[in-house]
Amino acid sequence: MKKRKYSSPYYSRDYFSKAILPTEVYAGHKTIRQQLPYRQQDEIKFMLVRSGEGTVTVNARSYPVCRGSLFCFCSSHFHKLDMGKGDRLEVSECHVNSGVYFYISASPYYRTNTMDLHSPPVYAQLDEARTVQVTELIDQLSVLCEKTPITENQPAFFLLMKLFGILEKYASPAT
Amino acid sequence: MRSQQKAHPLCGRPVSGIFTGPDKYLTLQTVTVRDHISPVAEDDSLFIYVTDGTGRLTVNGVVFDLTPGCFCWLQSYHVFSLEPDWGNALELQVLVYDYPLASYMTYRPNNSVSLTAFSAALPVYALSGTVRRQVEDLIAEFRLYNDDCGSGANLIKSAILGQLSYIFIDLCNDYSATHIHIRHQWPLGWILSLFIAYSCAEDLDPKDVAENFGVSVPTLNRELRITTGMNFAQSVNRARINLAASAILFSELSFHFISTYCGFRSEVAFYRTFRELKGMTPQEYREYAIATRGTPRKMVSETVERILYYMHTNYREQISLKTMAQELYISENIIRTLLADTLDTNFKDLLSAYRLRYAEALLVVTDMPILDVSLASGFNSERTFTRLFKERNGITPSAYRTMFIGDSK
Repeated sequence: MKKRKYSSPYYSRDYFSKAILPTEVYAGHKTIRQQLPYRQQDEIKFMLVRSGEGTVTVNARSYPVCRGSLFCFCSSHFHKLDMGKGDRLEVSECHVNSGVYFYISASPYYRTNTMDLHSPPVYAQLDEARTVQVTELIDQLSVLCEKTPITENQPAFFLLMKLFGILEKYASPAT
Repeated sequence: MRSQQKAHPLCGRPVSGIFTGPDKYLTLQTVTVRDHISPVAEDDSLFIYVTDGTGRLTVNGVVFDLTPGCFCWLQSYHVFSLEPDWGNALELQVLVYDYPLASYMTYRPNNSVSLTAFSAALPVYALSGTVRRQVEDLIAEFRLYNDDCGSGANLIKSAILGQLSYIFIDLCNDYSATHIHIRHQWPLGWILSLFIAYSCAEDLDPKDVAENFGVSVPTLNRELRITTGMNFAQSVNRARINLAASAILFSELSFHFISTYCGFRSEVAFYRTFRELKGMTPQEYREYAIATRGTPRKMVSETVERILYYMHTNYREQISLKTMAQELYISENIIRTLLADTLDTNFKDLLSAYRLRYAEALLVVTDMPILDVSLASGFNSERTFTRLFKERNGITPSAYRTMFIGDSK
């Protein structure tokens, strides 16, 4: 007998274990107390407003935000936050490498043409139940990425996939 | 050493398509079993969660008791039957976790410990406490999106299936760690089915396999027939065709490659066996699987993803089709063809789209001169930038900036 090798459907592809998966995940909560200048990052960034009201300006377009506003920014989205009348804005953020985005858009049940790299950011105003769910997802991601080595962190990928799914499902038609 | 279990023989020829099928992917099925279900051999894997009732599940000749809270993950190499207890009915939640999706979700190669543990462990676990609550919560969450076939809902449902598989693999790892001798107790037919499933792509000869397990070829065939209703050749062919059915969804893979990859000695043998088992040719299956409504299961080429990822991370640099081809080890012609076929675009247009989108942002949020914007976005000259910008937006970069300047300050 030749040496056994696993050739079943359970054996996955090596390629994706390199650059394209969640290798640089950051998740956490922030309290914004003053207006922030324009920022931009090379990776994908999710931002959920947990409390407070204000304005998010993305590439000179303003979006009024309140609890449940969820954004997805990519490298061409310069964005800044303004608290408006309130004294602070509490947000949850999650950063992932852009490879995750490409891998998720390659899901066999996903139509790749629907997840485009939009000029305006993908934006959704979530109801209370979904807001709680997304907050919990980001909490879980934050815990997972602290405790587990990134190379072992497949559960983080499932949570990110859910986050993308929620954003895709509830995204505003205007985007 | 403990003695090997005797297999519970099959009664009837296994059938497929009871719990799986194109209309059942990413769908939660609520099934009530009131009577004995004859042997089933599905082509995809499925999760079963028992919500009510008691009964028995026979998998490859081994009988497992089912009670509320039992969680099963059955594979294509499992031939199983269900039987409720007398006067009872089994209430089941069934979720199909098809192999193309499972392969996609298991992006990191399983380490050998997990794979061994998974193959040697049980297909059924009686859950309690936190794990049971987790599984029930995930199934309840899946139910929320059950009737939604949109892309967003599909992503959420796929993620839930991934989470369920992860919970199950954890259960297998825990079980294997505490039951290290269990694999010696399984009936020979059980072990053989596993061996065939995991080695089907190799050049398997019944004599070699029988010798490896210390039995004769007739014994090998008999043991397999008792537990799965199929002899060695039938089992190997079925495993290979299941593997091929997943690979076929990658439209860029040739049938010649797939036939070799799945262990067939010739393409003719592959076509013949495929037609016998699936009732259609590989080409017809590819068209049918990709076109099935509600389940667009076409797998995106890894090469396309690599091209897009490279473009996304380097568009502000001085890249060209040639440098991309060199860095990715893909020929320029293949890149051209893939971009045209899958995205209906070409390298230059795609690169310009990325750069222009970035330049648009720079124009409205900074005071940078147009020349600096064009260079920062990856263009070689202001002239090229202005021409392409005007083609895309119908106005010059300066006019675009003036249009937005009021809001950006």
